[in-house]
Amino acid sequence: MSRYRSAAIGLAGVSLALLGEIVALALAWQLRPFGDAVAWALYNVAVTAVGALIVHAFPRHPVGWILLVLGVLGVWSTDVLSAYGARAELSGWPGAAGAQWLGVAAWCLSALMWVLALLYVPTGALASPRWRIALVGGIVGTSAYLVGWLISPASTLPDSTLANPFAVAGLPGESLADVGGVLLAASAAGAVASVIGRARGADPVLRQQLKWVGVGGLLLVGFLPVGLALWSSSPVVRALSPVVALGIVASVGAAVLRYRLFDVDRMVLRGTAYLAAAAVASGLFAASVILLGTLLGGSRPWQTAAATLVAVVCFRPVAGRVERRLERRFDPDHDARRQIDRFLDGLRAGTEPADRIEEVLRDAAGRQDLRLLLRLPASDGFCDVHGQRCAPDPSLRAIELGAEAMVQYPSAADPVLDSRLERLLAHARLALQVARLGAGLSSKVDELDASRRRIAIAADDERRRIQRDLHDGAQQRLVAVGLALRSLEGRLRADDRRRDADTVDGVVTDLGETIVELRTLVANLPLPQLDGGLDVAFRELADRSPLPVRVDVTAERLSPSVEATAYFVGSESLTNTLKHARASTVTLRAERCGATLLVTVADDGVGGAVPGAGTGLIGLRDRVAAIGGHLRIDSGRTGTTITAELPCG
Amino acid sequence: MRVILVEDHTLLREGLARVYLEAGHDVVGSLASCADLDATIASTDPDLVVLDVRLPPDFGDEGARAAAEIKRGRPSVGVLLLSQHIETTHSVSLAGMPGFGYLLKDRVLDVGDFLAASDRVASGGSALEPDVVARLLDRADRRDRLATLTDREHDVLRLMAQGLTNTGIARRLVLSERTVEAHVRRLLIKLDLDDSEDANRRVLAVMTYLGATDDRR
Repeated sequence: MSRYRSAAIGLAGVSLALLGEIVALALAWQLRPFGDAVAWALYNVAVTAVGALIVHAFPRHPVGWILLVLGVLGVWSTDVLSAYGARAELSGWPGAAGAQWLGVAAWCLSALMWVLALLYVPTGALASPRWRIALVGGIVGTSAYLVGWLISPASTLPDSTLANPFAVAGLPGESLADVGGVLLAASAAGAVASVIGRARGADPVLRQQLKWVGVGGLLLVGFLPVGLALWSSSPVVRALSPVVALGIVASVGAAVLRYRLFDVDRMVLRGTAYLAAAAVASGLFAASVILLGTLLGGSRPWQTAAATLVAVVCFRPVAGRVERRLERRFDPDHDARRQIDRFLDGLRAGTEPADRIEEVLRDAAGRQDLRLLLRLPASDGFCDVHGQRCAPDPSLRAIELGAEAMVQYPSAADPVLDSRLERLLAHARLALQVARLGAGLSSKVDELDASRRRIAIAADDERRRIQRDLHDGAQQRLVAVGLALRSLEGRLRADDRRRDADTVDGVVTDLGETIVELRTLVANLPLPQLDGGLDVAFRELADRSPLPVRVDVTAERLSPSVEATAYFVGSESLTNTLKHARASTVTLRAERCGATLLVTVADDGVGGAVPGAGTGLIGLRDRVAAIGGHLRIDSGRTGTTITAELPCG
Repeated sequence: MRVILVEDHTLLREGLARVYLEAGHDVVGSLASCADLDATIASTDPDLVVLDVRLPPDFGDEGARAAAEIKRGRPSVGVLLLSQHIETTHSVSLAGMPGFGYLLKDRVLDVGDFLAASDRVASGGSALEPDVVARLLDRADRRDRLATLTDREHDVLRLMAQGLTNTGIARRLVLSERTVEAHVRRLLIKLDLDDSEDANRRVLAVMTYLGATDDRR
C-alpha cells in the first residue's frame, strides 16, 4: 500500500471519528456534563489517531487497523447512538430506546478492541499460533454478550427506565450474555498473559517495546482501584479516567511505533516512584484526617486543609527518595554514572589524567572492547585519547556524542547498549571535552614533531640529490667535453697549429679548475657519506682528525635519518672538541640499547662547553630533536661528554 | 696495452677510449656496467681494467666492489678506479695492492700523466690520488714517525706514494735525479723500510707501511 493511501485512510478514519464526536457532543448538549463528554470524545479520537499513525507507519501491522476500525466503530456505536437516544427520548424522536440500548451494549466493542490490540502488540503477530483461541474467544464472547444482553428481558439501562425494544421472551439471553462475558473476560486475561509471555526470551528491542506496554499496564493498575472506589463519588476521578485511558493508548502506540524506546526505563522508574509516593501521600492524608478529627474535633474544611498540607509537603521528598532507591535497585546506569562522577571529581581535583576516560567508560559500560575516538578540535579527523590520529573503523558499531566523540564496539548492533552508551557519553561530556582538548594538543605537537623530522630528512635528501646530480651529471659531462677538447688539441698540434692548440689547452685547464670547484662545492655540503654505514663513516672522521680518536661504533645498519643524525652528532662534537677543548684524546662511541641509539663523544679537554656561543651545539640539539631524540651535554672543569639518545625502533 | 673500460656515461667512455687509442693502446672491451665484466675479462685477457666507482644499477659502489673482486681473482690484471670525489673507504683498503690505482676522473684531462699512471698500474705499480695519500700520511697514529722527516723528504714520500718513479719525482719537484735518490734513501731509513732498486716494490713498501697499522675491517 502506498504511503499516500495509508495516510488517506488514516485521515478518513480520524475525520469520521471527529465528525462522530462533534455530532454526539451536539446531540448531548446540556444532557451530560460537558467536560466529561469532551474528555471521552478526545479519548476516542486519540485511539483512532494512534491507529491512523500506526497504519501510516506500518500498513501491515494489525494493531493500527484494530485501533482505527474499532475506534471509529466505538465513536459511532457508543457515543453517537447514546447521545441520539438521550436527545430522542427528550424530544420525542423515533428510535430513542433502540439507540440507547445499542449504545450501552456497544461498550464491549471497546473491550474487544483492547483484547485484540494486546494480542498483537507490539510485533503485529500473535505471540504463538495457540493464542488464536484467545482471539476467537474474544470475538465470539463479544458477539454473544452483545446479542445476549440485547435480547434478554432482564437487562436494564443504568440511567433510564425505557423498556428494552430488542427483548425476546423465551430465549436464554441472560445466560448467553453471561457466557459471552466470561469468554470475553477469559480472552482479556489471555491477552494480558500473552504479553507477559512475550517478555520471556525477548530480544532487547522487543523487551523495550513491551516495557512501553508495561507503562500502559502500570497506569491501568495504578488507576483502577482508585477509579473503582471513587467512580460515583468523585467527579475528579471520572474526569481523570479518559486521561488515563489516553495514556494507555499512547503507550501502546509508542510500543508499536518504537517511539523513544530507550527512555522507557526511566519513565517506568519515575512512574513507579510517583505512584508509590502518591500511595504514601494518600495514606498520610487519610491518617492526618483521622488523627486531627479524633484529637481536635474541629471543622471538616480545616481538617482537610491541614491534611492536604501534610500530604503536599511530604509528597516531593517522598517521591524523590523512592525514586533514588528504585534507581539504585533497578537502574542499570546507576553504578556506571557513579563511576563517571568519581572520575570527574578526580579530574577536577587534578588527581586523574583526562586520557583515562576511555578506561573509565569501558569499566562503566562493562565492555573492555570499547574504543573511544575524539574528534580533533578544528579538524574533521579523529584521534584516540593519547592524541594519536586514527579513523573510525567502518566495520564497527559507532555511537556518537554530537561532533565531539564517538565510541565503537565490535559485534552486532545492540540498541540497548547503544542507548546506554549515549547516556554515559552525555554524562561524561565534560571529561570528554577535557580529554579532547588535551588529545588535540598532543596531536598538534606530534604533527609538529613529524613535520620537523620530515623537513630535516627532506633537506638531507635534497643535498644528496644535488650531490648526485652534480657528480653524475655536470661533472661527468665536463670531463667528457674536456676529453673531446684534448683530442682536438692533439689534432691541432699534429697540423702544427700551436697557437690554437695552446688556446684549447688553456680552456681545458679552466675546465679542470671548474670541476675541482664543483667538487669542493659538493664536498662542503653537510652531507655525511654513509654508504658504508655509521661504522665506516666514523672511522673516516677519526682518520681525518689530527687528534687520536678511539672509535667504538656498532656495525649495524640503521635508518638513513638516524645514521645521518648520529653522524652529525659525531662530526659536530668532534669539530667542537678540536676547536675549543684542547683535548689529547677523544672517544667516539655509538651503541644500540634496545630502541635507542646512544651516541657519545667524550674528550679529556678543558670542559666548560655550553650550548650557544658559536659552538654549534644548538643546531645539533635541534637536529637531534628533529628525529625525536635528546641531546645531553656534560661538561665540567675537565672533559666534555656529549650524549645523544636517538630513537631507532 | 689491452684495456677494458667500464663507465656508464657514454661520452666519457668514448672520450677515454679515444685517449687510449690515440696513445696506441687496444681498447678490448667497452662496458656500461659490471654485468658482463667477468666474461669480457675472461675472453680478452686485458692488462688494465678502468672502472667508474659508481655504476648502474644502484649507483653506489659497484665499481669498487668489482675492483676488489678482480684483484682477488686475477691479481695480475691492473685495476684503475675512477671517482668523482675522494672517499677513502675503498681506495685505502686496496691501496697497498700491486697493480691498483685510484684517481679522480678529471685527472684524465692531464692526458700524459693519466696515461703514465695507466701504464704503471698495468705493470703492477700504483697510482694514487694525492688527497688519498695526504689522508694516509695525515693519520694520527703515524704522525710521530712521519714528523721526523724533513719537508723535502715529506714531498718525496708523498709523490712516491702516488706511484711516481724517481725520474717522475725529480721532474715534479724540479730537482736532479741524484738528489731525489738521496732523499728517498734517507726517508726509507728513517721509516725503517728496505731500499729497493725496483720502483714498484719500493712504492709498495711505502704503501704497506702507510697501511700497516690500519685497523680497518
